[in-house]
Amino acid sequence: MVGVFGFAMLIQYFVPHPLGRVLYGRVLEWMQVIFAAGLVLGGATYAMSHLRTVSGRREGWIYSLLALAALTLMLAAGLIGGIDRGTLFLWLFNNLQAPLQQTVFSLLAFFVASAAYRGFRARNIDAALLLIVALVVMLGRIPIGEMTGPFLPDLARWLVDVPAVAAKRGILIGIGLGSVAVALRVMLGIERAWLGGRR
Amino acid sequence: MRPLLVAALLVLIWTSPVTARATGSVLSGIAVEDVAWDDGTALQIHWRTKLDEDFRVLIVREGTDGLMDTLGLFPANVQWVVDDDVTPAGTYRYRLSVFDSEGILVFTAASHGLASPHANWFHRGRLGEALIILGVFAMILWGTFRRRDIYLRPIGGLSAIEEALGRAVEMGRPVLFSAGWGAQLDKPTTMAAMNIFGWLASRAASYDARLLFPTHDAVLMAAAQESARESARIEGRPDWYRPEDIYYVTGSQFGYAAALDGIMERQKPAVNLWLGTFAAESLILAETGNHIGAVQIAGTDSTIQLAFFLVTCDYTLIGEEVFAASAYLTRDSMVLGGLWAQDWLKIGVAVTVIAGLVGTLLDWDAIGGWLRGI
Repeated sequence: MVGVFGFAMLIQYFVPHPLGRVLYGRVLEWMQVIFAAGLVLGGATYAMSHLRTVSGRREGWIYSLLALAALTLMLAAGLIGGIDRGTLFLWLFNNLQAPLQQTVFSLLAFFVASAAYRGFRARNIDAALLLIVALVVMLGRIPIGEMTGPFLPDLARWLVDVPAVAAKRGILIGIGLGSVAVALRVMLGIERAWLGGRR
Repeated sequence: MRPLLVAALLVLIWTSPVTARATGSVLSGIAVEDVAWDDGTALQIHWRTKLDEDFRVLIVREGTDGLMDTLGLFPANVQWVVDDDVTPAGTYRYRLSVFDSEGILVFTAASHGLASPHANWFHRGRLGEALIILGVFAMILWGTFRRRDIYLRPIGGLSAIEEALGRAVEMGRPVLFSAGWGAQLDKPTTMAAMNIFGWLASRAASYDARLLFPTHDAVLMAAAQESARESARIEGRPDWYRPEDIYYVTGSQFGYAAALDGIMERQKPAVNLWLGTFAAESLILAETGNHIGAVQIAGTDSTIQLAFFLVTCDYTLIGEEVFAASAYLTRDSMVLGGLWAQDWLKIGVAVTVIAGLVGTLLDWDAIGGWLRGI
């Protein structure tokens, strides 16, 4: 089935006939159906997993109870009151879920600082080179760097636009070829490790 | 009122005599042709004229159902227009009316006969892509079926997986696997990550190491559960498989990051494997993993996240190394053969890039034109 659908999707890209578009549209619809079914499956697994933790009084069961209460509350709020403006569901989303997500996202600033500190320690020549390049790019992109003259900003721009892009394109070419090779092997059933086992 | 006036104008133009006011050089050779190699939704109207851009051509389409529609007003000297709003089953006639710079109708004529668009089975504009894909496929298949047993340079991250598994068993701690918040089963990177997961589940089953795989996608979860179950069966350890260790947490990006952070802080996995498609959650996960002292092996196709993994993880697979992992771990001769073909294709791409570079430097339009044509 993977092979049939994989090759059908590949061939339809080259077929302008309306039948090709019909096939493509139909497969996209099926994907939506699978996604919707997956949400139900995911919700059920989520609930079962936390129910097991609560019923077995395993470590951290109180968090699982909180997770189940949150799931039930959001589900009830959405099903009973709807999800439009002014509903409890949207209020909960805007005032609880969104700030929580923003809080986790904002942690990234501190993680970047600690990772940069570790990464930029000049332990060897490579790390020292990385540190120098990072300093040049950082200084070249802030107002104090621009105040020193055009050299630093120009060098920073060149580093970002030329060597960094060249390295990135090299990686992307490898990724492109690797993607095609993996897709082909999976479609032809040559590679089956993803189904389990050592091959 | 305005639609009525427009309709009246269209009817007036359509029913007016062939030549309203001759100017000496008007439109000739009005023809309508099917646009080749398309999906049957376009017709090309072309004409010949010596008029300049001050003269405008109003094109009106009439279908067999009697409906008339205005395509628009075009400069007379463009000499052709594509109407891409027709249906494959329909037949159409076009009337072209020329207006001078003052908006006075100077000429009008209709196309001869009825034209009908045809749907085609191949998009000629994509011939270059088709040939490249066929060439790449042929090369990979040739390499695959020749089953080459090639030398693979040591990849630290992949060699370390088995050692890391042993560490997890000795410490009595689990192994945490994540394919990233961006993982979807229709992405080749996810398939490559799942290949590693299948192999890992097999090894974990034989070592009796606990393997955790919290996912953000229920379809991926189902596939991973099936993979782990099958791996345990093949290893003769069906009792190893625990469906509750491969579970859905949330579809929210930072909810997923928070959930994995919590799992790491509570369960203290000995090994973290970040293999797949990651976005902004990569650093949050890898830094927390670093904080708990886990051995971390990462690999992604996202060039932006690679930098974060490089500074936080013990081993990082860069780009194509993720796709080569299956060949490296299984040493399967067919997969190795595919890898050999990939290397030759990379040489081909490099040669093409150098040819383009030389062509550009020496101003050889032939090479640049040929590459742009592809």
